[in-house]
Amino acid sequence: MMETEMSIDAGTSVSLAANELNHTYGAGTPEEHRALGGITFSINKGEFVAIVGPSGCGKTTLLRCLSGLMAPTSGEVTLAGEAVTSVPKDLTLVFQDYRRSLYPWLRVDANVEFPLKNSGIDKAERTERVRQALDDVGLTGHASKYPGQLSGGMQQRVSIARALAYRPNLLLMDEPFASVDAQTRASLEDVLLEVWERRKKTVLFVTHDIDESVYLADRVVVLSNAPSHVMAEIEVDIPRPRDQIETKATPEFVELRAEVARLIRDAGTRET
Amino acid sequence: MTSVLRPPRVPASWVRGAVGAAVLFVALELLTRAELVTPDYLPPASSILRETFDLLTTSAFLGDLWVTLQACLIGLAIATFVAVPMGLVLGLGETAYKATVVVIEFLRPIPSVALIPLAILIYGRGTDMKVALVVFACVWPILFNTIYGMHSVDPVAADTARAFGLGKISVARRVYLPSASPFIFTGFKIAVSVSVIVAVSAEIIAGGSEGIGIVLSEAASIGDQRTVYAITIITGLLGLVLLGVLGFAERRLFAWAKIDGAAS
Amino acid sequence: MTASPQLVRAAKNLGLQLAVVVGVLIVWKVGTEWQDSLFFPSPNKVLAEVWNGWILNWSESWNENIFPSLKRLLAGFLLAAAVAVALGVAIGRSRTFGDYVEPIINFLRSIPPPALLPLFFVLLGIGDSMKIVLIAVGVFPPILLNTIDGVRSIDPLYLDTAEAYRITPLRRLTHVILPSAAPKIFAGLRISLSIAVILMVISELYAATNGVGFRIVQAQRQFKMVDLWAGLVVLGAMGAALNVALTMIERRVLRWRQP
Repeated sequence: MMETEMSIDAGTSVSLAANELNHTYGAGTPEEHRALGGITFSINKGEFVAIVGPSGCGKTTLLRCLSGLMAPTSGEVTLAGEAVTSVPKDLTLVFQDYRRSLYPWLRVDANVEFPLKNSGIDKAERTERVRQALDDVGLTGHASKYPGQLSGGMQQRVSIARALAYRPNLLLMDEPFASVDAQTRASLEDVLLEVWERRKKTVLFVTHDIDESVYLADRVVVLSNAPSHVMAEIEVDIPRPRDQIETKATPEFVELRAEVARLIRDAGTRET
Repeated sequence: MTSVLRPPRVPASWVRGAVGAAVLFVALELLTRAELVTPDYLPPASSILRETFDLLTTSAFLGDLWVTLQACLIGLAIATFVAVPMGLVLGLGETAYKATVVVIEFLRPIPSVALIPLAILIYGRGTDMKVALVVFACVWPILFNTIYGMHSVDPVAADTARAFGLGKISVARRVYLPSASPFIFTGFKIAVSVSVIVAVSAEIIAGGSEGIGIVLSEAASIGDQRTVYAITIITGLLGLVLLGVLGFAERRLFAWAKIDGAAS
Repeated sequence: MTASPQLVRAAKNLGLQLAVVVGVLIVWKVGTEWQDSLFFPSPNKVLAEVWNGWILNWSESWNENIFPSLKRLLAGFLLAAAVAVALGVAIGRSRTFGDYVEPIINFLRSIPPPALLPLFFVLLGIGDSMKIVLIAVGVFPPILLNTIDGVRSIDPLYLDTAEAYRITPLRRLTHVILPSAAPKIFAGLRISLSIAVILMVISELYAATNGVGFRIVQAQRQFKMVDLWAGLVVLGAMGAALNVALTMIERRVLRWRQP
């Protein structure tokens, strides 16, 4: 790996850090909108961190800045200590709108293979990674179909498989299960957890679903209204492996969930 | 990477367009003055412009222009009187449409210019020939757009009228026709551009005595490139001007359609 | 086993259309018999001429007429398409470039290509190059404008995804930009195909030594009405065949599209 490529194999425990991120859209125009108001937090290697906040608080803006797709108005994003100015090699972002992020003109397997083609991996290994990724998300028989032939939940799974095949160490996910029905969401959550544990990834998961955030994460970061800052970071020390029904019935879960919900509700009513 | 929006300091797009056109003009002028391109092929841009202006102020040329325009206008009128009623009937009647669609799709790909030889034999080389060709060419866009417009009428609007007791003809006249009129107008706009091209083409191919296509051919045959380019530009301008006038009329007459999103 | 309602409806449709076609042919035949117009020969004479004059001496028809016309048409069309798509992508991707160049293109688009016939004839003579250049010039603007439109309307999320996965610019062009703009590009190609046919015909009517259009104008000069009509039928068939070919290509390239 080249030295100029940023990666988190450098042995540091802090992977991604955000420092006083501010972002304003349309500065100087009448439509000026301050989305981020000084966000500071960090993720450690191997963690699963969820970000929740009231609607419109700038969660997507935050992810775009963290991933290097967009430069914040001020503040700094670092990966293993180095500043992030473009999308780093070891990071990938799963978009919420899978319909518009999968390429409809490529078959499922071609879509999953797409990011791998230029990374110097030979054909045999690429094929294997694709097969494994589709396996991980439960889409084994559908490799030759076009995205247009799949249901919404399946399309989102392809999107996740694509990210998995890419084998980034850091996975940023922007409300990936928001457009999917409840049952599919439950099974996708478990698939994600399983892959995370098995492959030792670091995941930053943005959601507006409070249950989901507590169920999945080691730590929940709660954002305020726009211009958003970090209101609280809540440790979730519910043991793993977790179960959709059992875990959600435990008193710890209920209490943590309530705490997050309270914070968000209060944030929503307050003019920060 | 998308960057933060700053208040734009770049010039407005039309300024850039004007700059682009100016640069092209200057480049052409220099190329020809420096004789990098032989003046036989491409006279200096400024002289072409001057010739264009001269032509437009010469009564002889304007006479030819009027002859060509006459053919266009007469042909357009006939085409409209034929195509609109036919389109209304075909658009209203489901069976009639389905029945004729095969014949129409067969006739449609025949380019009107291919019929120039036939028209010459039937009508000679005068205005009648041009009018006949313009009619054939212009019927199609008007017909299709009329049918399309009829098919786009909101059935609820028609049902509402019928619920108020209006008879079939009344409904056609007072609901379908106004609803379809923006589409018919679009077809008419297309037909106008087509009519200019067809008339000029017919003149160029068939020869004859009057019309801007004839002037163009004669200028070409004596090697007067400047006039050839000038008339070519004028033909383009003619189309643009006509479209502009029609566009203005369209905005006035059919402003309601744009709000609705009904017309193209 | 009773037929499904859709099948019945389709059969009824087909029957109706056939009836109309037959009806038109009958009207034509009867009309010409009754009037025996010089200018509208009866359909069996025309079809007989197509058979005898075109199909039976196929090798001559092919070498002298159909192949030269097709060759010019395809050469002009493909040449213009290649340049127009390339330029269209460049203009579509760059707002600044587009601003400078688009007004010029819009003006050039309004110049009817037939008006260029005398000029091109003087410059390029009677041969293939005059026709190929004319076709290319006429076909260029619609393909260009549709390509620009297609490239400009690419969903930004496709590009963001490509950036998130650090795709190289070349792959982004071939695997994201072009496929995404392909539907609109094909729309431009369709329009351009009919324009190409028109320009091919008109250039051959004006100045040619072979080709389908040339054969038509020859018939006109010799006052051979039936031959002229036969030529028109062949021309119509050519145009239809080209359209079918383009549609088939479009279906294959865009087979991923769900209706």
